[in-house]
Amino acid sequence: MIELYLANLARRLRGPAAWRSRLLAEARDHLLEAIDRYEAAGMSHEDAEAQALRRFGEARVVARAANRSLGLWGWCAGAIEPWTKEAAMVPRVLGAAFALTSVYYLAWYAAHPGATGSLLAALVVIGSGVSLVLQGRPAQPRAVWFHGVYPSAPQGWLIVVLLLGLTVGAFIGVDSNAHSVSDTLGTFVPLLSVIAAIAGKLVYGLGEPAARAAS
Amino acid sequence: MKPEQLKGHLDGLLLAIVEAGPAHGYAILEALWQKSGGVFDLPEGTIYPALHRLERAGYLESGWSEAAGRQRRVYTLTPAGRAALAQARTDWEQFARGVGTVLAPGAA
Repeated sequence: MIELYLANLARRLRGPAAWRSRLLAEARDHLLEAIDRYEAAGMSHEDAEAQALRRFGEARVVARAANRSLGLWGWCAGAIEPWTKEAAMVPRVLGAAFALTSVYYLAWYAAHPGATGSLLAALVVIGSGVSLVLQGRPAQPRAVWFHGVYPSAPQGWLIVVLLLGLTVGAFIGVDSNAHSVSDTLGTFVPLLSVIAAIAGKLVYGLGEPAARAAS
Repeated sequence: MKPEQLKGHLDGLLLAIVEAGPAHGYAILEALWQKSGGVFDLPEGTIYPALHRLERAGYLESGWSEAAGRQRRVYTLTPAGRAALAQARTDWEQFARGVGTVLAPGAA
């Protein structure tokens, strides 16, 4: 019963892994001590467990108090933690943002029907955005080079370095041929969306499977 | 007393309990229960986020110790915590005096 409760609590906690682990360890110690006390007072083990859990509070209530105590910092920490709900939101939010930039390119194309480059840019950001939004985590990756968004193998680090190099190279290449800041951004954003979509495919496709990461 | 009535006072109460000496979560809660005569009936699990918050604020420090074959986190009051507790006591005295004065029969 205690383990089920702690698993339920663990599922609801956000924030840094070290903090969650510490809170769960304290909860376990608290519950075990409470059970010992109730048993010493004459309760059966089952009644002692039930009483300890009742007094500790519903997992939902305890988790809410714990998550709130972290504030914005906790949310941000959760967003860069592997496999939290917040981390899963990052590619979706990023994808939606890229897809939204298509409005700019489509508006430009509507005003300048000859500017087929704008139409192409709109299609590119929409495609990349949708790819990121729909990005899932495979149950059986072909390799395990990432843990969440963090490289966990030399190959993972190599991919990160190559993607960063590609991003910087693309920006420099675009900027050197652009005539203004908006010209630079207008060309760079579609390229960035493609790099982000590739990064999503690689990081999640070559990442740790969900079941192992959650344990 | 309902948990929401403790809001704003729980930090001071926890600091006051730990002032007596290093203690782990269960012992802190037990002392709070005994000293208050069972008045503070809050979900026990919610004191841990409060203890962590006080530690992040620098009012408490903690470390793992082993007891009865189990790992437990023991909290100790810091000098900053002692100062915060003194301030909490001052604030509470002013608050209680003000409320007491207004609530006293015939005060209105």
